[in-house]
Amino acid sequence: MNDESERQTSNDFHDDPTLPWAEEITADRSLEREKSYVHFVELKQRYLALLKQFAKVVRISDGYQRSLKEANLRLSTAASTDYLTGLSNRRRILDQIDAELSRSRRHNTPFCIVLADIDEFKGVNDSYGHEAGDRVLMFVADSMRSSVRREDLCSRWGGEEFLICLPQATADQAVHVAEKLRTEIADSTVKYQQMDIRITVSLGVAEYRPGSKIDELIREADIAMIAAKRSGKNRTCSFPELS
Amino acid sequence: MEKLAIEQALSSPSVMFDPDSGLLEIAGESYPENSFEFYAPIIAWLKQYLAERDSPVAFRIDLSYLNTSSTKCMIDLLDELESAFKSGRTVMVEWYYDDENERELDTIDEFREDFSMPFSAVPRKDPA
Repeated sequence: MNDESERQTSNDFHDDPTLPWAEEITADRSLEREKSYVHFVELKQRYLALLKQFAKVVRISDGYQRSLKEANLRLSTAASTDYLTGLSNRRRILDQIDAELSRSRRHNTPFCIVLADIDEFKGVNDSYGHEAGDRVLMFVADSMRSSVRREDLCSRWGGEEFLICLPQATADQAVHVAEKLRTEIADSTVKYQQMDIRITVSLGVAEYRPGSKIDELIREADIAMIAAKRSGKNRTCSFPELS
Repeated sequence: MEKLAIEQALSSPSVMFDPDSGLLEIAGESYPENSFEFYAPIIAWLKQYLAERDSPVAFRIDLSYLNTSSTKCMIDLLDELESAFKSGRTVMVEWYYDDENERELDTIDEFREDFSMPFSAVPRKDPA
């Protein structure tokens, strides 16, 4: 009885033209029924074994694809990130400024950059040591991340200098962001081994003008930042006002 | 029986199968243009070796990347060793991995779950 009902089920398989053994089964029709049934069971087992192996190969392969993808991501992050602060590095921000310059040129939209330099940073290193200096750099990086707009990109430009790219920002808006960052840093203390280190930053804002080139824009931000230092530090100057 | 030696290339691993010592080594990355073509002589060599000799075999795998078809070929190689093991041969598989990458260990576990022969995951000393 049992045998009979199983054959009934297997007949459904025989008649299904979409199954891979359909053709072979059709050819076997001329053979004795019993022989055909045995053959069908063997094929079905082989097919299931293949399916199982296929699933395994795919699982393993997916594992390799994932780890490759992750390794690539780590590499590309390392290539565009400053190791200490986690901000973008010089190369990454230059790419971004370049792209923003093209965009402003095409659409005639405003665009600014801000260069920030920590005041008396050498003094921090000399009085508290390099570890404290690193702590200060990380603190400035954190303050930047919390002061800028979502669309802005912050970078460690070099030593104690940071450069921010502010897409579609007017000079007024850029000064606003710079002042927010300056006051936040000036009003905070960096804790280091039970000591409170106070620091300030001087900032220079440069605004895109039609025809501006990337090195000109950065030079203008530098001039503005140096002007901020010369007029007493802990302040923001912008290049358009200077010129 | 001759040694099987294939030099490492950009997309294919180095292969060093020594019939006298019983040490079979494969190292590098494996994503050749045609994996089945690359692995066919290796599988053929292993089949012949297992048929001709009955000395112990150590299979040492140090692959940091395998594409899908290489994975299938690797299972075929391991299947050959598994059936030799089941018929009483001494077989040992060592799979090297980067211990900073947890995924690699997971992948080795996927490989070894269906085999009963000794199959160990060994952390790599130097990065490959």
